[in-house]
Amino acid sequence: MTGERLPPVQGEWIDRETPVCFSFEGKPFSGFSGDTVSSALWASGQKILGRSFKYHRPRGIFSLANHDINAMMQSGGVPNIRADITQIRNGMELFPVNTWGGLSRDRARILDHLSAFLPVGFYYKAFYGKRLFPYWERLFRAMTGLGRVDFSQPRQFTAKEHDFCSIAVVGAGPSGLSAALSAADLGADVVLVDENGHPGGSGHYQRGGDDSQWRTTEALWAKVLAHPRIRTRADTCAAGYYADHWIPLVSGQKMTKLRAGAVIFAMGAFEQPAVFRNNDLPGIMLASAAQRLIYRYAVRPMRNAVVLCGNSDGYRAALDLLAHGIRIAAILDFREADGSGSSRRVQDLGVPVHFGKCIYEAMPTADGKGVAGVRVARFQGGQALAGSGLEEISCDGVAVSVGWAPAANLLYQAGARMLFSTTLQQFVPGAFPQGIFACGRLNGVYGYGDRLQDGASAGQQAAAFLGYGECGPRPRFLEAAGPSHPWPVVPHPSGKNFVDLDEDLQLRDYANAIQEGFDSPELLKRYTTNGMGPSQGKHSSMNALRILAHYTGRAPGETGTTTARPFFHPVPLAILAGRGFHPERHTPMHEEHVALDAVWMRTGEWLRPEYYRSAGLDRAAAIQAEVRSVRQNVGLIDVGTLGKLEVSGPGAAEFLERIYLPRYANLKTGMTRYAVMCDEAGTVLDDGVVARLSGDLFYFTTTSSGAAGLYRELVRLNTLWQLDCTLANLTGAHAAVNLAGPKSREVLGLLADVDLAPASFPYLGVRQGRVAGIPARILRVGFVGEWGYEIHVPSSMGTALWKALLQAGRAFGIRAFGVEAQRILRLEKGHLIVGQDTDGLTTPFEAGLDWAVRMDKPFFVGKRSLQILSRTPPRQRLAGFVLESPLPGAIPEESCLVVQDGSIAGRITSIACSAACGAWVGMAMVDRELAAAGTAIRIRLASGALVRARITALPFYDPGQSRQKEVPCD
Amino acid sequence: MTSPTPVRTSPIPGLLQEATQAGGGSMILSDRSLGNRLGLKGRHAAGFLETSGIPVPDRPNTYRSGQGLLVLRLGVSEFLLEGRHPALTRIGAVAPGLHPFPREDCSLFMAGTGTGDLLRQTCSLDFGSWDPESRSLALTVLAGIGVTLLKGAFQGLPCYLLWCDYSHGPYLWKTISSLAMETGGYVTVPSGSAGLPDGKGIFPAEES
Repeated sequence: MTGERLPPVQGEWIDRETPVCFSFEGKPFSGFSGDTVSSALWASGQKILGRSFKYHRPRGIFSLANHDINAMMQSGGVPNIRADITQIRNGMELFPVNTWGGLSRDRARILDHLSAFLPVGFYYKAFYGKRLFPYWERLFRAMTGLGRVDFSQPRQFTAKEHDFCSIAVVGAGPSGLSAALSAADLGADVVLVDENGHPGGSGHYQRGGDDSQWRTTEALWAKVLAHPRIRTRADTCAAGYYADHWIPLVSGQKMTKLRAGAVIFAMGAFEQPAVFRNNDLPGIMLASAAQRLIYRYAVRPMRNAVVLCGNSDGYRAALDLLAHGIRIAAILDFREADGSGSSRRVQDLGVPVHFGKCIYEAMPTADGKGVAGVRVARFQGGQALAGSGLEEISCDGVAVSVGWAPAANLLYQAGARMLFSTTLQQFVPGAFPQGIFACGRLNGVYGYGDRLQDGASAGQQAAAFLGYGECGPRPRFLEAAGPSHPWPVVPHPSGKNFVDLDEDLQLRDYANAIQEGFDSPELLKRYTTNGMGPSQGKHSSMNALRILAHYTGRAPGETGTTTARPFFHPVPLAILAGRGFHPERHTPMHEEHVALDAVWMRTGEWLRPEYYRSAGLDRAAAIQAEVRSVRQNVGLIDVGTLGKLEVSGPGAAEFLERIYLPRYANLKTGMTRYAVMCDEAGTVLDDGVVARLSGDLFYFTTTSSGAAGLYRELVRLNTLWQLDCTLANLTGAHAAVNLAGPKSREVLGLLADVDLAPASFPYLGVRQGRVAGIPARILRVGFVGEWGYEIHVPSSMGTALWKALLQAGRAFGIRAFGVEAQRILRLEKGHLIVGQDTDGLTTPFEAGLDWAVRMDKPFFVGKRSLQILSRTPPRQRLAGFVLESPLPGAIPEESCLVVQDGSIAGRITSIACSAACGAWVGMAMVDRELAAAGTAIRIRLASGALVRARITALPFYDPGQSRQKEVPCD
Repeated sequence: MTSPTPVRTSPIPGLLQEATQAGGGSMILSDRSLGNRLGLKGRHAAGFLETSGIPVPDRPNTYRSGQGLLVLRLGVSEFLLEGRHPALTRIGAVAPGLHPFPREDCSLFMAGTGTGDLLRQTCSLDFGSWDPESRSLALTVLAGIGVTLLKGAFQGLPCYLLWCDYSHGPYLWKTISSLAMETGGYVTVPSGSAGLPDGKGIFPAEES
């Protein structure tokens, strides 16, 4: 391996025995197992890794930590993988996103020269005018967007799981390791999470030319691994914080919802860039990125470096560069002095150090794709004194170390109160919510030993919070020097001094936005789009805040911050969606329907046969055949989806009186009655049948989709009413079928031990007995308008019942029928379906259910509203209609509008072709004036054409009820 | 009129009938849907059970076992009884404050190392920290449906009894079996097979 690969480095993450081959823009590359895409490319000499979002400027490694998006790539069908943190695999085919013609020849790089025409707020201003809105929209859609979605990719089903622990520690750097160990030592069950594949955080790569801190970190990690009460999750990001210590942990494979008793945030800090002209050239990177390259991947970040400092960390980074043979042309320090031992060591090694200096601008190479040197100016009073002469220093890279911003996003989300420390020049926690703790750099503690101590203390506090041991007050640490420079910003008249690299935002964009009045953090963020790119402000928010404070004459602590919301890192949609659960319910006879070649439809969660395929018949013909079977012989339908409830006790009748509109106190034992209920507003809510099985025991049915919700509501009502009765939900415990047709009695007679003679088992009667030896409740009801029986049996015997009935009915031409045939049959009979022929506003008076409303009852749900409604005629009525001269292709569908004098006068709720009536019949909710039988109406088709129909009295079929009963009912 | 002997069918008939192995088999699954089961509600339900000599859990969301019965207290006045006991035949029809009703549940026995992963992916409760000695049961949501679940121990491994609505049985089986395949495979054992607990041995010993 040649190029920029260093000799073996202690603790490197790569496996030099395992080479990995991949391609980038069609060219072959290789690296080692453990390399990320960025590190492998950099090691091979490929320094341009991407193009910027707006100006298409060349970009290289900047943070090497997913804190910027300079290197986002398309890998096959997967868009926007983060090259900094994505490991290479053999055969990977990678392409940069957001280029027009490849990295080197990106045609959109012309935009870099047009930046003067794309000022801050350009998008918003472009959309001011309606006329050009479509033009801009199309242009922006064509120009923007990262990555390409490949719709042919197979859907990924990722797991989503729950996990639990006493204490979650987020971040496995020195303080996080220390916190996990101390909490676990006290007895807590700890989960330690880190976004990297290897632990240690900055303890691994910020060595200052000395391996002792790394060795200490490694020793801590070994203890963690051996600890029986610590579970570790590497390569996992804590992507957000939700109430009650709920944290979504996102790995490459899945999301885990971790519920913890307490949370310790030890997420460290993001290194922040300095703002100077051309600070985004490939080769200019954060010092921590250079250190990561060296210690994680053994890659030389640059050969001839300039180090730009605003703190002592820069000198430690310089020592790391020197330790690996990298020449340092100069160290430039914004400050006038540095008292750390590191700076003295650097100077002792002969490195020229320039205090009070800044980079005025970086000079690009001739091709503009790298850095050739820097122009240095005196930095005084927060200004670069460019007029006093600029010194030029040649280099091929710049390592920038000017400050840190705490990785406090989750801490904000958890509700911690953050205060700005002028000493540290960063926000630190001022007050924590219950069970939330922080340590390390996030807590404003920077010294290595201090971080270990701070972590241990946080671990003890969290453990004590959960009752494991006791702890004293948290130790306080004093930083010798502020780790962050208060103003690492160098204005330049020609701009291109970037603050937010995601969005290509320059310093003057902020000045202009503030001048235009967007002078609060939230407004500034939205107008400039600072922090709204994929890296979510990790490298830009702190500098933006400093700039806002600077231009508005305030301290950063006075400006406040923007709101931190989940997710902290972008989460792939496949992971976010995870595995979906879509419950479905089968009736006990499901397999029998499968055997009969049912075509399925969903009714709520239920799967029901819509109809059964029949050889040589299309859908309509098959349904008509089922209808014909019921009208002429006998049919069998599975109605097990009906809600089936019981209420018992001395207060049972009173309970039913209150929930339903009709009267039930006078219902005789052994009889059933139609049931319809309203809500408090008098809106029809549900219907069914109530059967009185004995004095204090009623069995009643509800609509299929309403059963679960209705049962909950009934339980709630009886909790309020405290009637002496008990409710039980038997919906799943009972199978039910409807045996209907003129020969149904003969079929049932072969199997039932109940006297089916009309005199002893009249219409609307209910009997308990056995059918085919199965204990059954038999209700003589006629939803489809024929002689029929609804038979309810235990679910486990539903299949046996179904088979027995089909067997017994074979000689009578029995046929299973589905929901569509049932809908036609009931429509012919004029029976409404709640939810189809009614809607969320329909009253019983509108639905033609006036006869069911018993206003003489002292109370029922909705009575007061219905009393008020009854004072005026209903605005609309449900009415039957028959199409006049129906033509093929001109048949209205449900929900088609009834039109009268050019206005909407109603809508179709049900329509079907009735063989029994020899016509297309339907029901429509129409204006009251149109509801009288014989009225001509016009229905508008989806095409806009109008068809004629005539209102007809209901029912369409057997108005004398002669087919479903032989003796008058009570 | 004919009176054939009624045949009961499980919501998961295939699982009941055959011993199968899918994948590595880190989980034992058994269909126990056709067990003898009864629901009992009403203000006198607890009193009736006590006077019948049936062990009564002293608070909701707990269970007791003994005398061939598993008694789950699902609420202040609601019980699920599973097994056979002479007193159950005396319940018969409803009486004031006492409402017996049929329970036709889908019920599964699950045991093995794979159960932890399975439950973590389908339910938000922390079963890992549950102590079987507490005789706790959960009325919770698993894979989007309402279930009753209790934890025991079987041959030194965690095991669970699960009840859900009969109609959800096929969905639950499809969901559990596919997840089990991802977490190490499963073995199905016909209910009542030798070596499979019928309730005894997986619950903590009763004090009386």
